[in-house]
Formats: sequence, structure tokens, C-alpha cells
Amino acid sequence: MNWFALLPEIFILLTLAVLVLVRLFRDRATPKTFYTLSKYGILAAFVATLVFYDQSFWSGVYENSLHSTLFKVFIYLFAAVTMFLSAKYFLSKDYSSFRFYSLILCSILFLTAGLSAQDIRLCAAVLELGFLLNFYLIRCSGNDDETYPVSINFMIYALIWAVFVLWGVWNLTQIVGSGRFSDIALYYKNNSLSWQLYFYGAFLLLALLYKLGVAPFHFWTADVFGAAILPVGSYLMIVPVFAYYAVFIQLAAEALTVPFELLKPALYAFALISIFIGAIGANGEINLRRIMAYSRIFVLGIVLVLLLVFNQESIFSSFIYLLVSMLALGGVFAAFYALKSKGDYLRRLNELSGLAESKPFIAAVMLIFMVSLLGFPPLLGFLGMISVMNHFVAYQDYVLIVAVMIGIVVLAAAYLRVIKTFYFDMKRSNFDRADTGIYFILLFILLIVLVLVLNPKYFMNDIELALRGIIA
Amino acid sequence: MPHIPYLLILILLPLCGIFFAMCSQDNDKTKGRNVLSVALLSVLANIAFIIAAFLNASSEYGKMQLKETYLWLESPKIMLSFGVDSFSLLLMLGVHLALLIGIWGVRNDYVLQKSRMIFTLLFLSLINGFLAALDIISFFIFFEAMLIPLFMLIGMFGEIKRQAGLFRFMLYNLCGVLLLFAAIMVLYHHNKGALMLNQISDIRMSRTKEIVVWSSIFLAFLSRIPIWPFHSWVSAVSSGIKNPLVFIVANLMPLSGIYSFIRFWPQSMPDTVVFVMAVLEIISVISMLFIALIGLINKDIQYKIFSFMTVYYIFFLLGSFLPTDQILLNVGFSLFAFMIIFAAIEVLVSFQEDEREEKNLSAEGILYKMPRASAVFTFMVFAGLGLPLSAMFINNFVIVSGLLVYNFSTAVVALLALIFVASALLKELFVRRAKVETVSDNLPEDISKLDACFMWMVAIVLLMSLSDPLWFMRG
Amino acid sequence: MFALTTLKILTAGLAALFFQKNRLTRSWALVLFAGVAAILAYDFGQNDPFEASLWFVHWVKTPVLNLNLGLKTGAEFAPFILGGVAVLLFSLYYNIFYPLERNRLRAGGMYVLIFVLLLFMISAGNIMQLFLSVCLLDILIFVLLPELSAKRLFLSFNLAADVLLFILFSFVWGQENSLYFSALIKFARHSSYPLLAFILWAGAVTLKCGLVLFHNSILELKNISFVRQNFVAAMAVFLVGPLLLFKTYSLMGLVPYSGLVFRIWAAGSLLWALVGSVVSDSLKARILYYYMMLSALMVVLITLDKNEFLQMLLPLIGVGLLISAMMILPLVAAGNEPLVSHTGGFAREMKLSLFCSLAAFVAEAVLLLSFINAQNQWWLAAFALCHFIAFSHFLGQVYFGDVMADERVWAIVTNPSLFYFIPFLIFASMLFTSYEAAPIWFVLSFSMLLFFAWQCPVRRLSQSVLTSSVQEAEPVLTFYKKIFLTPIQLIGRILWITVDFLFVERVMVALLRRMIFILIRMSMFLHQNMRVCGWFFLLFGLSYAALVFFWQKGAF
Repeated sequence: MNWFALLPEIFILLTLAVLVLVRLFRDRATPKTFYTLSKYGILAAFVATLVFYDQSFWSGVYENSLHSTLFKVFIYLFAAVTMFLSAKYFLSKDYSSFRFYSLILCSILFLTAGLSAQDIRLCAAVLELGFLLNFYLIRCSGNDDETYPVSINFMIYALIWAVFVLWGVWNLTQIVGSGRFSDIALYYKNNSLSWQLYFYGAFLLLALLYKLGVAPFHFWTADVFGAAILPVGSYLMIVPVFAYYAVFIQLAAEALTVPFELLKPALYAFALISIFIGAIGANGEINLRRIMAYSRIFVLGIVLVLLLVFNQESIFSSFIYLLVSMLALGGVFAAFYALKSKGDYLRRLNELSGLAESKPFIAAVMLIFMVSLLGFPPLLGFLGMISVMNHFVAYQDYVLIVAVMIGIVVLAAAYLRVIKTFYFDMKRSNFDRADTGIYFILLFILLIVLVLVLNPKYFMNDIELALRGIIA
Repeated sequence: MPHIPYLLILILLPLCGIFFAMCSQDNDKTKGRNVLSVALLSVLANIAFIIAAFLNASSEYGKMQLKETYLWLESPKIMLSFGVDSFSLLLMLGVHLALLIGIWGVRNDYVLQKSRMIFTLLFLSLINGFLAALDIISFFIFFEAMLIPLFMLIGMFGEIKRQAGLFRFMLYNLCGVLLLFAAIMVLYHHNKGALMLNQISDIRMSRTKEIVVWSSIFLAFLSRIPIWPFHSWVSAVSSGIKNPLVFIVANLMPLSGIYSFIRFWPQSMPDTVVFVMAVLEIISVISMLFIALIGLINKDIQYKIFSFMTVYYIFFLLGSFLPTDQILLNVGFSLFAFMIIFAAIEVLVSFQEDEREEKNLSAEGILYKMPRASAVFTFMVFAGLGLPLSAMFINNFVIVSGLLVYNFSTAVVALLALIFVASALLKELFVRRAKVETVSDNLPEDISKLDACFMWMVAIVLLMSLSDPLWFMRG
Repeated sequence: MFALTTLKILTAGLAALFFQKNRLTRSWALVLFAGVAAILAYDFGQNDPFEASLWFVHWVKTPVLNLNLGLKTGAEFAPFILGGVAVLLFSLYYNIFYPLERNRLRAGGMYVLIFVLLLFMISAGNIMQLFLSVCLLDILIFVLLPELSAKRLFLSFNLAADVLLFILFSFVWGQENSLYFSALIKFARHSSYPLLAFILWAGAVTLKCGLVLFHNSILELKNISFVRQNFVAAMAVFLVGPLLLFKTYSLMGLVPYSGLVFRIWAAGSLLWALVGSVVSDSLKARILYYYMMLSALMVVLITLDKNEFLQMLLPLIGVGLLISAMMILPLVAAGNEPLVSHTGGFAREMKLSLFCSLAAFVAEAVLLLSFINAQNQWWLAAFALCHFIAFSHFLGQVYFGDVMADERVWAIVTNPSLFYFIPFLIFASMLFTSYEAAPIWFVLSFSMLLFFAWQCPVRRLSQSVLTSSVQEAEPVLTFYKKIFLTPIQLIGRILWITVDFLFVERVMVALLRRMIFILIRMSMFLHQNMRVCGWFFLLFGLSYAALVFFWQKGAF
């Protein structure tokens, strides 16, 4: 057993421990304290991940690869940014952030463990635990009247899915005699597929779709993102997506290839439904975070449909699209941290009328990111859209082309409402000063977007290399 | 001599202007003068570069020069290519001059001047890229990207009464853009790589595919031009804009449709697509007539100007449909003068309308007490009618001749529509010049001497281009 | 040489235009007149100005069109050039001392510029230069006219003519691919749409000449000052219109009856002008009606024999200017009293004016009759008769008959200053000396004219139904507004309501909006209660996944 391979996780555990100790024994533990500790923990984990990117802790059970490293890197990066911004939030609210940071670290731990897991039992267990943990995340501070019913509903369905998954995993491992991906894949390949075998595998894959928030299993996303506090919303919006996406690919490629093939028509339908629900749902909302939640459903619908072909090019295309969309969504959520009035973080559209007048930079970045989400050139989203369209054309999937185009037009209608509120409506309320750090983050994300759009070839080459291994 | 990337500079210079505009200080004391100066300097610098580009290029139509290529993506492999001929450079110059006039027209409007100039410069940068694009991907990038500054300018400064109309306008354009995107990706994929605009007609696909792709392309371009029956969405927005600079920007968009048709129009038309041309012509003439008729009955001067411009755009489009490339240079010459004329007319009308609203005067006789404005407005209207005061005179003659030879009935309808819009504009001129006695303390204020000088300089530019806007290239 | 002369005159005109003087305006106008007269006299006197020469400049050089602009002279252009010179000098002369002229120098400069453009038109070597000069003339005359109603009518009619010419010449170029005048001959022979081309051409010419139906563009000039009115009318009616017809004469071959059409139109114009000159109360309008008569005559003469017309052109222009010189005398004498009905009995105070008018009329009548030949005899006779009736009626009303002028007018009625008689004397003497006729003809015509003027038998016509209101009616504009524009506006409104509003907005757009609205409401309904809807989505998803499996396994 190579313990070095577990170093990132060890670092996170250590950080958690330190957090607990600080919480218990230090009187004046501010949000900044917890953030600083978490930051160093994440940094250490990040470095360790990069150094031991191809080390295995337990062969066949827990292995690091180029694939898992890539996604872990993104998880750590996005998590770090979320933590930084969350510190600003908790500082302004002046209540404890220990619960938040500790839960985040736990969540990251489970997610990264899931990425490296090569055993279905381990994978399912950590992912389900990590997902169930979100119940506490949702309950973090905030308005309990609003978050309590949402968290209960969330828990109910999360438990149902956890039961499905664990039942499926249990039976599958019983039948196969092993939990390793390779063994499962071999079993599926050499034996005829009964409906039970199909469902045991399907539950795992569908559970991941549920966690991602793909329709028709999306029903929790809008409520959760709309009700939870901003740090929780921004974390859940971006970070876990990379993990679930990567695990989905891994399972489909290495363990559940056969059920995945059979499930494809259903996944195709789910992707189409996601595109439509995402686009239409965004139009019916006045809560900005719910609008972005639906946007995420739209994005994931396209990502899923790209994955279905399941070759090197399609995975690459789907990942590029996912990455640029998550960058844009991340940018939007980062901007949300600047939308405050009288100490309250604003979420409803009508509260943000005339934002451009008093916060032109914030309004401008939100405009840029939303336009990028629509795939408008010359922004980064266009890069993703080119990959998407190129893929559809290559496989002559003209129905999808039409569906995506209609979806973009409908989603654009929702974004136009937002832009109109920011830029064309009269200012109704005064906005509080935003922390300088938020501006730095936004500027940083903007610069990344600009640099990538001007010179994307090097960045895309590296990603292509990393992803190449998965289908090999 | 080191190679100077003129086209890249023309695209990036306005972006640099945006940066300086964002950094410029504007408060109650400066009243938008700093950002205005930045915008004017950016545009003038760009004009200087365009003239420099002209002097380094030959005057032939169709011979792409000053080519620049940049590798953007490796997978899929996308090279962004830029290049110009005299036609596209001329259109670029026309756009710059039109925007210069528009910026001049809003120089005394201090409210949100910074945002206005930033979006205008962004639009300028993108339209330069569009006019310089040589391959389909870069063409598409700028074709779509232009919508963003357009939407922002109209929404923020257009004073549109019905926002729903603006949304519809944007979504309609977006539909067109997406159709083009799909068609371009099909072409790109079919060619298995980079595809230049002048190579499109060499692509051969299955019949159904050709029909769908070409129809999508043409529908996308038509979405930029106020074509019947969708003209009301465009007209409701374009004619409702009060700000002259925004009006000019909004009404430069049909130019992108026409230019797209010219660049994409295949040298050798695939047989499957020949019928598309007939459909396009029918739609064009119906639109011309329809919009001309509505312009005739509408009392709003902005609508009259909009209908005048739309009819002329479609007229130029019909000219570009003629089965000869030789006439395209004439279309370009006419367009060059046309853009400058309508920009000047719009700025002058906007000034008059502001005076009207401020002093509660009627349009009748408003120019009677504004001799400077009256003189220059009359000049511009005459030039717009096609009298020998600009390049439109001789070049419209060439276009009409071509139309009469190749398609007589189309030419007749087109001429009828042109006569209608000319009548409407002329009638408006006479109404505004009528002799009306007004109370002495409620007289409209004439344009300043500086404004009059500027407008007469524009008139001189038009007169100098009477025979050939490219006179300075011919030595 | 000719080019140099043109340049000198152009410089003089520009200098007058841009160097405005507010004081000693008459002196400056005199300087302008003297300068232009000196240039013309010197240059035309030194060499043969009408020696064939060509000066040109490359104008347009594109792949499609190659055009030069030039000044091409020859003997055949002499009458037009001299005619123009006569009109110019006449106008510059009166510009010096006519009392109601403001901005004398600016007006003088405009006259000179317009004359230069006329030279440009006369010397056009190709259709495009002809058309260009016609359009530029319209613009400059528009600038010259001070009154908006005059501007409006003049521009409307002339722009209409320009549009017709534009279409016609586009036809020519499109078919023959040449813009030289020789292309017109080929076009007339091989035109694809000869009737249409003829209509365009005839319409343009009659509009430019101010013939009946389109005469209001000239008639409206009665509201502006005499000098400008005279200059514009003379330019349009004597020079531009006939010159256009002359230059494009080759198009007569388009249809076999082209000459007939022009003659019938001219005959109608002659009659209309006769009635107008009798019933119209405005003195200045009567001058314009006389011009209309002359214009009709010129059109007829060109269609009969264009070479003979050339010989008659200068005398005809002289006649026209003479008429206006004669008729302006009572106007000036009565302190700018423009209405004939406020005159009468002026013979008592203006014997010199009466005598000079009678003598001058006789001279030009005899001159006209000297041109009679077998071809034009009826036309010239008809014109002479109309001219005789109208002029005798004018003399009768103004100089004889009851005094209708009020006391103020009567108090100041006297012969105008000698300056008004000078050009008239010059013209009359030139006419008298150039053309020989038996003295008996002069005596007879003098006597007849005096008798008819004194008796004025046509006076009753002015009380007939053909009143001024009929004369001043604008049939073309009325037709345009009521028969052409109103239905078009109606069609436009109907189309807008039915197509734009009903079909596009209320049906298509409303349908789309409704669909989207329904979908959004459905989505909101489905997502409003997570606990309930979650089951729905969950079961749907799982069932679909199961369905897919069984379907693929062939269970259905």
C-alpha cells in the first residue's frame, strides 16, 4: 500500500482535525481562521495530487490516474475560490463558518475519494455519503424556515437513491463476487444481461445523474440552490459536478459498459428533456440562483448527450463544454457575492434593477458570463459550443442540433430579462460596497476566460492528453 | 519592410479605446468629454489605418489582400483568416465615417456617455472583424458577436417604448445566427477543415443537404435585413430609437446581411439552389414595396428614415444578386455614400426632434428658423435621393441598368419603391422647411457653427466621392 | 479656348457668390454684369468660339463604366450658347436696378453658375454628362428660388423628369452598353420596350419644357421677384427643355407617332397658355404664359426640322425676353402692382412705354413671320395669332380701358427709368435691322395691334367659366394626390392592418407567445412542490429506463 497516494486525502483529514480543534479550543475563531486553515489544507492536497498523480494506494481499489488527477485539480481549484468568497460572506454575516468549512472539506474528501475509487462499493459508499452530507450543508445558517423543508425533501430523495444504489451495489457484488470495476466489466461482457443485472448497473448510473441534477432527476436543484445560502449554493453548483461527471465516465468506461449501452436511448431522452426543462424553467423564475440552477440543467443536458457516443472526441467535447460552462457559472455565482443591499444578499430580479448604474463592473462581468453561457463568440462559451456543434454534425445528429438551437433561444430569453433588469431598468435600491477580494476573483476569472479564448490550443491539448487515457 | 497586421490593428484598436474609455475619468465637471475624446480618437486612428491599408492594396474587387492567418484551435483545427479587397475596405471606411458622425451627434448628451462609447467601440471592432473575415469561422464569430453591443446600445440608449419588441428583435436575430452556425459547421465538417468564403460554392453535397444548408445560410442573412413578413419586429425597434448614434448602429446591421450575401453568393450556383434565388428576389421586392408603402403613410420621421434605408438596402441586395461580379464595386461605392448620408440625416433629424420636444413645437416649419440646419439637411436629403451630390448618383445608375437588363419586373418594382421613399422624404423636407411664424421667444435653436462646419465637411467628402470614392488610390 | 472662357465665367460666378457685400449692392451687381459681359465679348469676339474643340477629363473608371466629362463645342451649339448668353446678360442687367431684388450679388453669382452648367449641358458629349448637368441645374435653381411653394413645385416636377430620364438612360445603357449619343439611334431601332421608353422620354421632355399639365412648375414662379422668375423660366423653357429634346432627338424613332404626340401636346399647351394669358389676373403669370406659348412653339419646331429650329432659336429667345421686357414696364411703373385688374388707362401716363411695346411687338411679329415656310406655316401662324390676341388683350387692359388702379397706384404711374428701355431698344433694333420686310407690313401690323388693343374684344373671355381658378388648378398634383397617392396610402394602410397587425402580430406572434407561456406555466406547475413532483419525476425516469431496456430486449 502506497500511502503517498493517499496524501491529498490525509492532508484534508488533518485539516479537518485542526478545524475541529480550533473550534473547540479557540475562543475567537473567525471565519477567516477557518478559511485560512482550509486554504492551506486544500493547497497541500492540491500539491500532493499533482506530485503523486499516478500513484496507487491499493491496486484495483484505490488508484490515482491522469484522469482522476485532472478532475481533482479542478475540484480543488474551484473549491479554493468558493472558500475564499465564502469567507467574505461569513465575515459580513458575522456567524460561524466552522460548519460550512468542515462540511466542505468532508465533501471534498468524499468526492476525491470517489474519483480514485476503483471498487464499486467504495465508490458508491463515498459518493452517497458525500451527497447525504449536503443535507447539513443546506441547513447551514440561513433562514431555517426556508431551508428546513427544502433540506428535508432533499434528504428524503437522497436516502431513496442511497437505498437504490446500495441495494444495487450489494446485489451486483454478490453476483459478480467482486466489487472491482474490471471484474464487473468482465462479468457483464461474458454473461447475458438479465433485467436485474441491468438495473443494478443502471441505478448507479442514474444515481449519478440524480446527483448531477439531470432531468428527470433534477427536481431538487432549483429548490436547493434557491434556498441555501450563497456559499453553499456556489459550492454545490460547481464543485461536485466535476466529480460526478468523472465518475460517470469512469463507470461507463470501466465497469458498467453494457448497462450504459442499453441505457443510452433513455439517456438521450433525459438529455433532451434536460435541455428543454433547463431553458423553459429559467424563463419562469425570478430568483437569480434558480435561473442559474436551470441553466446548469441545460448545460448538463448537452454534456450528457455529447457523452453518449462515448469515444475520445465526444468525451473531449463534452468536457470542454462542461468546463467552459462551469467557469461561466462560477463567474456568475462569484458576482452574486457582490449583490448586497443593507447587509442582505439579493437574489430576486426586481431587487437588482439598475445594477449597472451603481455597480457597472459587476453588471458587466455578469453580462459577459451569461453571454458566454449562451455560447456567444468571442467568449469562452463559444469554444464549448463549437465542440458541441462539431460533434453533432460529425455524427449527423440534426435533431439534437435543432433541439440545442431552440434551447439556446429560449434560454437567451431568460438571460435577456436579467440583462434588461440590470441595464435598462431604473435603480430601485442602493447596493452595499463589495469586498475588493470579490473584484479580484472576478477579474481573475475574466482573465482566464480571455487568455483561454485568445489562445486555447495549449490548454486544450493538455486536457486532451489527460482524457485520452480513459478510453484507451 | 516589416509586415504590418493592418486588419488585426483595425480590430484591436477600438478595443484599446474601450480600455482607455473605461479608465477615463468622467464626472459632472468633465461631462463625458474625456470618454468622447477617447472614442473620437479611436475612430480617427482607425480611419487613418484604413487609408494606410488602402494605399497598400490595389483597387480591384475580389482580390483579397493584406491577408493574415492565426491558428486558434487544433482540435477541431480552426484557423482564423482575415483579408480585404477594396470593396470591404470601402465599407469599413463608410462604417467608420457613419459612426464618427453618430458620435459627433451625441457629443452633448452626457448621460451614461461612457457606456455608450464603450459599446459603440465594441461594435466597431466587431464589424471590422466581420468585414475582414476570410474564412467561415471567423466570419461567423463576428457575425454573431455584433449582436451583443447592438442589444446593449438599443436597450440602454434607444428609449424603446416596448421592451418586448426589443426582445423579439434580439431573439429573431439569434435564431438567424444559430441557423448560420449549424450550416457553417456542416460546411466545415464536409470540407474537413478550414474553409474560405470564396471556396464555399465549390462544395458539393447531397441535394437535400445543399437545400437545407443554403436555405439556412440565406435565412440567417435575411434575418439581418428587415424582410417581409418579419420587418415589423425590426422596424418597431429601429424606427423607435431616439438616440442618433444608436439608430445608426441599429441600421448598420442590415449591411451585415448584404455583405454576407455578397461574400457567400456562389460564383457557380449549385443547381439545387437556383430556385432559392428566385424566392429571395420575390421576398426582396415584396419587402421593398411593403416597407415603402408604410413609409409613405407613416407620419413619424424616424420611420420614414428607416423605410428609406431599408428600401435602399434591399435595392443594393438586388444589385448584388445580379449574375455579374463587376457591378459589386459599384454597389460598394453606393453603400459607402449611403451610410454617410443616412448618418448625417439621422443626426440632423435628431437635433430637430430634440428642439421640438424641448420647445413644444410642431415639425412643420421647424427648419424655417434654422438656416444652417436647413441648408445642410437639404443637401443630405438631395444626396440621399440620388442627385449628383455623392457616389450614389452614378453607381445607382449602374445598378438600375443591371436590374433592368437581367430582371425587368424586379427593376420596375424596385424603382417604384425607391420613388415612394424618395417622395416621403422629400415631403418631410418641405413640411419642415415651410414658412411658419412662431412666437419670438420660442424659436428653435439652430445647430452651432461648429456642427454646421462638421456637416459641411461631411458634404465635401460626399462630393469628393462623386465619381469614385477610391479616387485617392488611383493617383 | 471655350474651356478657358467657361472657367473665367465660373470664377466670376463663384467670386460673386462667396464675397458677399451688404453695401453698394447695385454697384457690385454692375461690376458683375460688366465683368461677365467683358469676358464674353472679348473671348467670343477674339476667336471663333464655336470652332470645333474638345476638352475632357476622365471622370469614372470602373470595370463596368468608363466615362469622360468634357466641353465639346461646334457650330451647331452656337444658338444655344448665344441664347444662354442673352438670358444671362438680360438677367444680370435687370439685377442691377430692379427694385425688389435682394441679395443682388448672390443672385448674380447663381445666374452665372447656372449659365456655366448650361454650357456644360450644351457641350455634353455623352448621355451621362447631359443627365448630370440637368440634375445639377435642378439643384442650383432650387437654391436660387427664394419661395418655398415655388421651390416645391419646381423641384417636384423636375425631379419627376429626372427620374424618368434616369430610368430611360439606364435602359439605353443596359441595352446598348454605351452612353454616347449614337447609342440612342441604335436604342430607338432595337429597344425591347419602345412604348415604355417613349413614354419616359416624352414625359421627361414635357416636364422640363413646362407644357400643359406640367406647367405649374413654371407658373408658380409668379410669386417670386421678376428677375429670378424670368431667369428661371427662360432657362427652363427656352434652353434646358428644348436642348434636352434636341440632344435626344434620335429617340423620335422609338415609335412612328412620336412627332405627332409632341405636336398635339404643344397645341394643347398653346391653347391653354392663350386662355391663361387672357384670364389670368397676375401680370407675372401672363409673362409665364407667353413663355409657355414659346415653349410649345419650340417643341413643334424641333419635331418638324431640328436644323431649322437652330436658326430660329436665338430669335425666339430674343422674342421671349422682349415680351418680358415689355410686360414688366407697367409692373414697375405702378410700384410693383402685380394684378392687371388694378391697372387700366395707363396710356395717359405711359405713352413712351406703350409706343415701345407696340413697336417691339410689331418687330418680333414680323420677324417670326419671316421664318414661315411650307412645313411650319400653320404652326407659326397659330402661334402668331395666339400671341397677337394675348398681347393685344394685355395692352388693352393695361393701357386702355377704364382706370381700375387705386389712387396710390395712379399717383405714381409714370414711365419707368430709361434703364428699362435699353435692352428692349437693343433687341428691337437688332430685330429691325437683321430682318428685312416691307415697311407696309410694319404699318399694317402696328395699326391692327393698336385697334385690337383699344377695342379689346377678348375682354369678355375673362368673365367666362375659364376663370383664374381653373387656370391655377394643379391637375397633375391633384391627380397625383387623389388618384395615385390616396389609393396607394389606402393599400398601404390595409396591408399594414391585415398583414402586419392581424396576421403577423395577432396570429403568428401571439401563437408563439402563447405556446411559450403554456410551456413555462407547465414547468412552474411541475416544479412548485418538490415532495410531490419529485415522485413524479423519479418514477418517470425509472420507468423510462425500464421501458428502454425491455424495448431493446424485444419484449414489445
